[in-house]
Amino acid sequence: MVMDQEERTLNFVRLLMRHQQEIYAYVLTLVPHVHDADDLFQEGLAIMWRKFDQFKPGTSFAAWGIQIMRYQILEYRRRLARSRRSMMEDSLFETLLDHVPAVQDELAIRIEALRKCVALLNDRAKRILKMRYEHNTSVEKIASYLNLSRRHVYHLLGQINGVLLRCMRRTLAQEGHLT
Amino acid sequence: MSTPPFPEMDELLQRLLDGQVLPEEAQRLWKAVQEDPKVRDYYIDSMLACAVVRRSSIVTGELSESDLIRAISDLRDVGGRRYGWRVYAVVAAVILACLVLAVASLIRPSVPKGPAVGRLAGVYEARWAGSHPGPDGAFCVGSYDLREGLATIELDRGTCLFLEAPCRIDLKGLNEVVLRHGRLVAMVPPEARGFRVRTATALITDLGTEFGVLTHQDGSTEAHVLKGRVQVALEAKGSARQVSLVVSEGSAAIVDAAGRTVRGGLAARPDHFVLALPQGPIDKTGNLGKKLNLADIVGGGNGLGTGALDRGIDLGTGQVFKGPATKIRWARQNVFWRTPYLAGVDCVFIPSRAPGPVVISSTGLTFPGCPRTLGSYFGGPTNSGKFFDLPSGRSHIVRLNGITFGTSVHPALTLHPNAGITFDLDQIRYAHPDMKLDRFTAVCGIPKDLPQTPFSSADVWILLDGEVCCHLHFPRERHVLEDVDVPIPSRARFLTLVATCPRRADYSWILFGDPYLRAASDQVEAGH
Repeated sequence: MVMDQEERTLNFVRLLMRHQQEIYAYVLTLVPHVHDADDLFQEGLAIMWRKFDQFKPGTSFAAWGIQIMRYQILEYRRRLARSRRSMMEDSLFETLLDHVPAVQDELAIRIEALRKCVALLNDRAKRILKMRYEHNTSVEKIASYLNLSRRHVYHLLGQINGVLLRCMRRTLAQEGHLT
Repeated sequence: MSTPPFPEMDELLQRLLDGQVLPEEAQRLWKAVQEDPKVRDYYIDSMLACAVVRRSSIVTGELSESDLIRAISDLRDVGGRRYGWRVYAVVAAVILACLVLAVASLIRPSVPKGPAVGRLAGVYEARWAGSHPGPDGAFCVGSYDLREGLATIELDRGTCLFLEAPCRIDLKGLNEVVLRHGRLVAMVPPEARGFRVRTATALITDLGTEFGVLTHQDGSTEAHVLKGRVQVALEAKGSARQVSLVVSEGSAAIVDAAGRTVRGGLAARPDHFVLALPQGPIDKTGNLGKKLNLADIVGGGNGLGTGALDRGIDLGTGQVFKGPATKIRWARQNVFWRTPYLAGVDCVFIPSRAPGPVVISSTGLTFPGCPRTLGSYFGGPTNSGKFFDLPSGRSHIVRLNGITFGTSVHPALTLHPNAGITFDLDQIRYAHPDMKLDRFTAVCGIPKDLPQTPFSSADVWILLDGEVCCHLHFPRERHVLEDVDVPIPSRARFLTLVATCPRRADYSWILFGDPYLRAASDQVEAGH
């Protein structure tokens, strides 16, 4: 019995390690606010774990996870609407729902290209990303460490985003995934 | 679509992710995403990029299975709060037990018992806690805790173990050692083939080889094969599952913190380990004779220990500051400050990316070969062994060769690039007329027991009167340690130390350990 539980945990972890970026990207695109997206992802993970027995081996784990996240996001939007906090308009939300993720395989290829591109960033860019995303250092604090304004740090993060997207497109084109 | 569809969209998206956009900015963005497919695609790709970085490994080290398992364990507890008090009670009991054990071990240190299985073959500044090797250097079966320095143990079948502090081991016998914490190297001769190093998560078995093992605080283990082959297996802990991997020369394997996976195919890092006891300046001189501590002079002292620790010279102002620095700054021009308030220090300077000579002395000497840099700097030269790690926001006390630097016993001069400092040897001679300066000695390098921070490569230059007499290169992410021994002619006036990073990089913890000006040895004899 204990072994079953262990096996279940390991299977879940392996699948999650492989597909977490696809699932998280889905959440973040529809909820473009990192703290809210993190909370939703965490809540969604708890549900995925509880319902893992319903997942059919051999089918797409990412698609299954995204389905669960979708309900979480809809619920989140209902809560937000009740609290009258501003959010993405329904029409745009539905447009994005139709477009993300268009094709799972394509998403995986793009993620792989992006991973390669992150590895190619220079030290400074990696350091800023490490502060921002690994240590969750606030932009204010990063600005203070680097003796820059907050706006400048956002500008740098934006530049890194631009570099990554250009690199991703180039990589996809070189590998024949873009025409 | 590889360029942002409208100016500043990249920045706007970053602020959006933090909830830092104005309503009108959000409205403009959403309108563009709705109406323009190019903007929409760019937006989706940007969110994907953020997701990859945020849930990824390349920047930060793999998000391990154990992390995820821990996260899942946390998730399992959701809804089970009524058991919360039990968890607290267990944690409290564990802490209490640890305290009791710690106090008990202080009162009555454990003494290794059992047969002698080897002897101490060499030490370098070693300091043990608890049990020591016997008076004749005999090592019995038992636990040993090396707090400072290096030690070599030769076991009776010829296996040689190099320990680098901080390191805790349980010597189990001729064929096995348990590495509780730290790092060691095992050199195993053919007759001792099969020698094992056990850690909390891994069992490394020799297949005729030299290999290094290091454990991290989270329990993960790295095995680096320097010669031959080893087998790396998961420490089974009652499970019937046997997972192992044969790792060959030049490769490394990592066992994760939970002891559930072993990942191979990594390059071995010999620079993580000490493979021989240093024969550096400290041993050669035997610490005899008069020597002047340059770090102490930077700290406002006379070179004999009167300076203040953690005090340095701010490259932005040329004035004294209290280290360690916590901010990176940039200089657009080459910066030069005279430091008349510090006896023995002529000036400090920043080599930047600006064209023009890098002036390195108050008399106008220049360093024509000085590379252009980003112009960034991190405080300035400091009498300290501390560095502030930007990503984690924490200070770290550094070690080289297992020795803690930045103490009165082992002073340190930190010189984070891009920075230079020139000492006025004539002033120093004037202050110490009984001393004939003979050489400058130090160890120089980047400490290796550091947070997992991406470091840039760096270059260190040592000049006498503007002439380069020593150039050291520290490759990116490699923890090389170099001995510095520069003879000082009697006519030389200016000793300059410079640390630079290549143009697009600016983060490297360069440190001079034991930075001493030493007197000629014949003079030492005469002094006795």
